[in-house]
Amino acid sequence: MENVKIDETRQVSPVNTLFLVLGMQIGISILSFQRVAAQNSGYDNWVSVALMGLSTLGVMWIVLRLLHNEESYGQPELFSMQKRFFGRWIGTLLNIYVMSYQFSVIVIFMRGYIEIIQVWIFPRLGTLSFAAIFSIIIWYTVMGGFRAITGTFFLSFVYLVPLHLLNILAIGNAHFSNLLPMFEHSIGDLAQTFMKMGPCFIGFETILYFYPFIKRPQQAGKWCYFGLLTTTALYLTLSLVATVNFSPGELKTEVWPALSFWKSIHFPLVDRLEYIGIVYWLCVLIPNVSLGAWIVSRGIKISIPLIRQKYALVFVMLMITLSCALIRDRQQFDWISHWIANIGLFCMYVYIPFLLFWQWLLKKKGAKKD
Amino acid sequence: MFWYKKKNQSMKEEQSAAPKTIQELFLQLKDNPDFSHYQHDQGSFQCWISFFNSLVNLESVHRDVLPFLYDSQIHSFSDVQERIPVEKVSHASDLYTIQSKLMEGCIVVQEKESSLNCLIVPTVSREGRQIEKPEIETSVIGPKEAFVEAIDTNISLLRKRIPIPQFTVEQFRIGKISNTRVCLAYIKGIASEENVNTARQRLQNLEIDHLIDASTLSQLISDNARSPFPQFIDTERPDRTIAGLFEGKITALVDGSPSALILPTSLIEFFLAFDDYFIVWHFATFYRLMRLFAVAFSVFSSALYVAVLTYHYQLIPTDLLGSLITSRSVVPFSPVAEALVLEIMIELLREAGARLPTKVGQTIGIVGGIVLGTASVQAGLTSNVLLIIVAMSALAAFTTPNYRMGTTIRFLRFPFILAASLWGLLGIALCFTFFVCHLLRLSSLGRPYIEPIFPLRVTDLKDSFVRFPYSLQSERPMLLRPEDTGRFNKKRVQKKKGKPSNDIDE
Repeated sequence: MENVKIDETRQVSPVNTLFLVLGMQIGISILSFQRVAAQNSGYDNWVSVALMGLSTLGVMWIVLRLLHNEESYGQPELFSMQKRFFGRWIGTLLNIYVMSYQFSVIVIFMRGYIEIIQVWIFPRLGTLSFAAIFSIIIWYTVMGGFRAITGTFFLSFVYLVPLHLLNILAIGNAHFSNLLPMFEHSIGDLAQTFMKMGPCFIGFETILYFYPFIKRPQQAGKWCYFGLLTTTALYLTLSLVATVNFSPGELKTEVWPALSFWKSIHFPLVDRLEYIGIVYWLCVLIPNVSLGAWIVSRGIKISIPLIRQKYALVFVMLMITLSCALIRDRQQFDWISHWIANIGLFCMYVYIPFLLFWQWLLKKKGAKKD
Repeated sequence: MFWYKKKNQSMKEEQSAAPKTIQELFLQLKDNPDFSHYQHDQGSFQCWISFFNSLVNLESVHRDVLPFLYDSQIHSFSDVQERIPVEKVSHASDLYTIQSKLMEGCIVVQEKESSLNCLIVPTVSREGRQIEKPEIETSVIGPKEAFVEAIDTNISLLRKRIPIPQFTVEQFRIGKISNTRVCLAYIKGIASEENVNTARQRLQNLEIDHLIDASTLSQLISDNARSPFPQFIDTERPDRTIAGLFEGKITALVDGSPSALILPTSLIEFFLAFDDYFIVWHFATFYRLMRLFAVAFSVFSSALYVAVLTYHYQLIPTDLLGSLITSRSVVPFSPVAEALVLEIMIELLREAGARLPTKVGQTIGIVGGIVLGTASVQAGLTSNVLLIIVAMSALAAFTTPNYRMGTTIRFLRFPFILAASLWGLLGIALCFTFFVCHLLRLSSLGRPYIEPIFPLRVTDLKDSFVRFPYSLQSERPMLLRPEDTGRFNKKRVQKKKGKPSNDIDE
């Protein structure tokens, strides 16, 4: 495996990991997770949300540990790591598996966004044509390299600040009694919600891929944890806003509670705020999908060194466009996203700790040989 | 257009036309009425004198050169060199040097007509415009000098304000035919060596036949020539150039161009008027923010009108929607056609105003603004609301202090309007995302283009959207990676001001 150092002009400063982690975690599910969360544990869902958020800190610790240890052996990123751990063939197989996972995450994200546009703004919009336009913009961004992608993440963070501040407006017609009585749901219910919250919090593990692109990576750790805490705070606020604004029965029928909440806000010049919110969400979509496409194309480049990343990227974008068009209805979409969420959870809580264990085993073995 | 695509071929052409011997050169030049070439055979020293009347300073020739050749004491070349009271008289024996010196305005003295051994007496005339007030970047307060076309005058304007030996000027010759003098000026010890090297490299790599203006040069050496965004500032103000030099920037001056290029530059600097530095920081910040708001308004307003009226009329409160619809009820066109027609009309007015002489230009403004505007509303061709929006966005675009950036801003409206007519608000967002991605990818002399925003550098934010008081700006911009980062010692400044005492009055 080549052990090339990434050129410093292509690296980003450690602060940016905050925006990267936060940006990857905020996805399309932030608009709809409240319904899912309320299904099993009703108004107590915020407990699960908080627990999930805290558990991600633990996983992040494992991820950072893994990457830090790997620095002395080879390129500290997942593709090279898997090749080193499990040999060339199994490593490549695992790489393909990881790439296809990342690929489906992007497709689900993009398809989910197109679905929202189709439901709320343009009902007769063609999925294929629109996915193609998105893909062109994303291709253009990824061609700018990792720095440009990080830039879109940072800007999306800046843009989203006013949108999140809107939650303050919820206080006006909030029913805080909706939260009471607290802790009425069983641990089983909460655990089920915990499992279902997976897709919201997944995304921060992408640091496994871009770690070598961070300057002074030992300083990035604290920013990663800050990012995770911010996300947790954000999800907590949103779940509380949904709980105090909608009755439990209402919440179970709302597909996109966040959009319905925005719909209830009126400004003198803007009557339907959710239109702006949806359009605004493009600035979350672009960085997320860009980073995903970057990861997959880089994976192809590392697995088959003959292919250059820019050609791999064209292929990836074409496949994304086609896959988006292939998902026809809500049932297929739900089925796929359900599976992806489960695989993601498995990766986070089982596979990554296993990798750390395996790394430790290899180190022991190496020490014995010497 | 400027570039020689077939390099070898053009070189061949050049060689065939070029004179081989000095006699051929003079034969070629003899037909020109402004060329003097004669034998001087009075006195004890005989020689051939040749020069261009139109290029030399005739007064100095008659006063400082010719009378001394009549001196009976002169017998040889070295005597001439000693006696003539002109600095830098030199020898030359290479045809190319002789030719170029002759073309620059030097007098060439030969012993025999065919001899290559020549004496070059520099008597270059300095004809040119006087230093005047800046015309494009005018300011109410502050210095009133502007660059002129002569590069030496421009350099002297700079050097007067930086009286230190570290101020370095490097000269380049650019253009295969025009041989234009281009100077890179920077302050050693402040400007980053890396930036200077990049700039030098870009100038040396240029392949072009002629260079007329600094704006041409800026397009030629910019990082991405296909981008609509200008990547270097061109200014006609020496004070602004100096401010850049003190920050660690580099200036490129082109002979014959009344503007200097400042490199590298970030996007935000195009929206800073230099007046901002002459007024107190509160007002400077206020006007700066207003200007940035104007830019946003100018780009988005017409597009939003089109998007809202074509697709998202639900977005507007019912009361407002009523008046919008009454204003549009008589208009037979779709919002996008209406907006495009008005926008193009405004662009036409601007173009006509720029092409016409000043006196006629004012009339155009009145005709366009008042007559066409009201008439088109009365004729039912456009709605009142759109007229207001378009006029205001045109006005807003003109607040951009840099002319070239202003052009870009006005151009940007059209893709936004088209996108809005295709996909409404989503189209505007898509278009915006695309341009943001484009800006993220741009660089200026290898430095990130939208720098204080991304990569986020908090110290540079002090002079971007807001202008902090000078006492708080103790560091030079990080964008340039200056060798010497501190402008002044922060602690000493605080001490001099006197620390505020602990009580109200003591």
